[in-house]
Amino acid sequence: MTAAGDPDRLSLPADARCPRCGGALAPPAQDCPACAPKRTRRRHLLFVVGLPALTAAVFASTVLLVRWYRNREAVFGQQWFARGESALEAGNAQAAIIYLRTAVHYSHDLRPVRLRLAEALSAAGSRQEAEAYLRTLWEDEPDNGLVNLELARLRAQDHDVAGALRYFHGAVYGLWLSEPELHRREARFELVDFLLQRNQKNQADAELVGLAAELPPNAALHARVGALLLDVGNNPRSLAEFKSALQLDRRSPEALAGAGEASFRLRQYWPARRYLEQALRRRPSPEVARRVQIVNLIVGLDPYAESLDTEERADRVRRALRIASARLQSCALSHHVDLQNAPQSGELVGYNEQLQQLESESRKPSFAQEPELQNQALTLAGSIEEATARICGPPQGPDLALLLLQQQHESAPQ
Amino acid sequence: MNSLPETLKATPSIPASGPRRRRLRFHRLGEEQLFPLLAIFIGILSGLAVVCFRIAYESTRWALLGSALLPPRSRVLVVPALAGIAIAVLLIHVFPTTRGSGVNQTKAALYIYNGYISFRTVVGKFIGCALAIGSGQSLGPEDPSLQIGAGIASALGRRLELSRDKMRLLAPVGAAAGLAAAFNAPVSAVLFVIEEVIGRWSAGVLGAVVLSAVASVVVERWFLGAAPLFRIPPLPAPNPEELAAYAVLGVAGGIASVVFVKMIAWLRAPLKSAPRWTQYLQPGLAGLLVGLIGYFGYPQVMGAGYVFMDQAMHDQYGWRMLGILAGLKILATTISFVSGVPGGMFAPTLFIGAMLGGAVGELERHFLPHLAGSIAAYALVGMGTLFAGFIRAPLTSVFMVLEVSGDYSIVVPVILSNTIAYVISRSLQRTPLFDLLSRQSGLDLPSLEELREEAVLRVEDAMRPPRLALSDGHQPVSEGLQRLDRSLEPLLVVHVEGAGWRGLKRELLAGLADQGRGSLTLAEAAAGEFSLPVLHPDHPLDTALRHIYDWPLLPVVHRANPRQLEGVLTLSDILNTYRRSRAQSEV
Repeated sequence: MTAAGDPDRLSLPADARCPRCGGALAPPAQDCPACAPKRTRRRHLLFVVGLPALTAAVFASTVLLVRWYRNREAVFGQQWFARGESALEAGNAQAAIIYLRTAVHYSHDLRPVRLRLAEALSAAGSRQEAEAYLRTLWEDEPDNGLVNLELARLRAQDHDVAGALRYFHGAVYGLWLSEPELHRREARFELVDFLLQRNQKNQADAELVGLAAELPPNAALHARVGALLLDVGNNPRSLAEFKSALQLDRRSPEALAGAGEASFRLRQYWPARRYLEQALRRRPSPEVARRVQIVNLIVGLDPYAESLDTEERADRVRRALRIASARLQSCALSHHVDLQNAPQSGELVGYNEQLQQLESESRKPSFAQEPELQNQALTLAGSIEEATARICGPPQGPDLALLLLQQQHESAPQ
Repeated sequence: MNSLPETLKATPSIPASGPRRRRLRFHRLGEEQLFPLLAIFIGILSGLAVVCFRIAYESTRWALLGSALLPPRSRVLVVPALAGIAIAVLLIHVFPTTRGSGVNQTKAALYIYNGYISFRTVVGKFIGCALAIGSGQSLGPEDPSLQIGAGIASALGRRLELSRDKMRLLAPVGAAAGLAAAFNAPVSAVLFVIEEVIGRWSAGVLGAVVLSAVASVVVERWFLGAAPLFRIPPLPAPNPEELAAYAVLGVAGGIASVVFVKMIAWLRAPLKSAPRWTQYLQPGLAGLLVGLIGYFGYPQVMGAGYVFMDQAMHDQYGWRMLGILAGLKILATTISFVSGVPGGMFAPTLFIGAMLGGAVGELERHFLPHLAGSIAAYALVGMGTLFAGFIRAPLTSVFMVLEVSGDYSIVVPVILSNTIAYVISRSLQRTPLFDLLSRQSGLDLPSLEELREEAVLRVEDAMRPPRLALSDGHQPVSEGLQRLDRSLEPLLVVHVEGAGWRGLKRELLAGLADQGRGSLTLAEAAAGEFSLPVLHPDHPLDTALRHIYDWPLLPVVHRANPRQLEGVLTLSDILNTYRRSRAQSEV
């Protein structure tokens, strides 16, 4: 069997001749002795000159072809990206995904296109696919702020706290191409919201402290941070932020209301009333109004106010006893306790006996000159409010004011 | 091996003066010296050709189906059918040798046609496959790239008037270059060519294959970038428990491979033997059927499908869709291939594997969320699994997955899943795909899988202890003659100190005895004889055949102690061993 076009034949007849020069071929050798040197020279010429020339020519042609190809790909990539952007802006996430996938195909490694696709997928609810793209992007740019933020949001949706924290921090400390401070700040706010949703107040507090340290001079931002600090229970820091906000804008209703609330929680009722009343004037609000009402009651009932004389103080103590007595009666009635005839060991009965004693003492004219007795009366009133709060539910109105006053007095340094 | 041609040895000597001496040295550059350089050029040219090929089928796709990933339905229905008719005309009237994927055609060049692939075939493959893949036929570009590279190598070899031996070696060199550029994976390409085309590891050919593969990949990356074939999301390291999940994938992949092969085998034979006029219609009809699949909602099965594999790895599809795509791709590829449309099977295999792997992964994630890893990992392993089960190249399938992913952490799941699929495929479908196709085409190509499985016969399998025909050389000739007569061996083997093993024939000993020199020692008698070539027990039996015709008996000696005779070997011993081995394999 011989190969088509193959001059080397497997078997040669005895009188074989070279097809090129006609010279005799001596089997079993298949090379023509006359042609071999010429063939070698031809081969070397081809190898040294022809082959490199051919390679160079093909290389040059390929360069032109690839250039054209890349240009076409770039045009397609831009066209499809533009369609994707338009669809996304029009709210058509599904169409945007189709267009952006095509754009990704033509743009190869263009990360902005992939990122946009990931955003579109996220917006359309295709979380797994969005995360797959984002993780690829994250592998390439682990410090890209936007990629980290998108991943954090996906992890948050999956209730992966550790993962979300990791990526939120990546967003907070990562690189942002435009307005880095704004994006980092917003990322931090989002992180705090996430932590508060998970009731992780300590961690949220730590983030807020860091956030507060980097705030620009902007009253709204300070007020926003102050409100979040209130949510985590860091009242002193919250008040400081609201005060900072008021320094920048003393008429800010949010800052005034926030400062009032923070002061209230810190049992600083006089400044609280001042802030809250200003806030109410700036922007009426039912919550603020209720707070103002309570604060006014507290301030009106406070027997420890420095501006009071002895008679006024004694009157406030008597009023406290009356309020406590009424609360005791209503609580006993609601629980069907006969304060007069109940067994000696009942808590409410015990308070009732003490109350009756102190009420009789408070009616004496000498009551105003007996601060120890007054303190005793106030303590009893506070105890009654605490007990009835425990037994009959949270107090309202004057009872609440009395309870808060008692708590303030107990927590004050002696 | 090859030595300088006799003609060059007969060239008159040239005086040793400066420039003429340099010309003499240049003339002495033979094929052995030129071959590595030629391999590099083959790699470069093949890489350039594959780059152009890729641009060709992509541009064809843009022109025929548009730039959208999911083409308009009207085009999906019409374009593949019309392009199929055009392909049929080209195949019948212009490029009749371009049918098929290209792998068997390259093997045929190597084993039958002395490395010959016509350049017309290269051009036809280029045009035909660009049209086929670009119009949406469910075929891939890798196998054609393999043949294009082999064809370029063959053309170069013919122009350089290389010897037949070198021409045969050029086909795999070019094939490796073409495949490496197509996959952007040089290691996998080299392994595939050695595993499936050449079938043996030889230092000489391996060097050239590696050079050409590397050169082609360098060129390809220069033009098209170094980005891997797939943008794979980061893969978490698999837990040991997950291996059970990958084992399930191996089973699924093995079964899918068998189904795929049997469908092709079942459909191809009757279509090949159909009347000639039907061959004008078969590609068009295939295009229409593939177009219908695309028209009714699954255009992802059209073309090579790499972008959709990428999307599958990015969790775009649910398990139902993935399963459907895997099944439809098997159907579409079968239709395209058996109709005679030129194109490759590698990309469809990867597609099916990716979809199947993703489907299995999604299902396992649904029912056993604590057990399953990322879908990308399953899709990737699935690619290798189908490659191992369908193409039956187990080594290539493992390295290919590692190369396209760049991630070594999944090597254990890959090996496990691939092995299971390979075993299942071998058990249920004895003949591998390429062997099956070659036999249907009337070519009796060597089955490299069978060659790998064959037991290698060694000298130790055939040798026997010497029957007294052994001497240390001190005995007299008369005694040696007696020993030889008693042993019935054809030769007396004598070890001569410092001179190795010599063989003394009966005629020589009898002649010396007749001359009255029977007291001469055997060592003295052997002084004028040639040394016997020695064998070692671990030598392949083929090695013994090269020497046995010159000597009726050969000594087999210990490697650490050449004086220690392990046995002797004759031609009849060798032939009997081959006969026994064949009888055992037939049983």
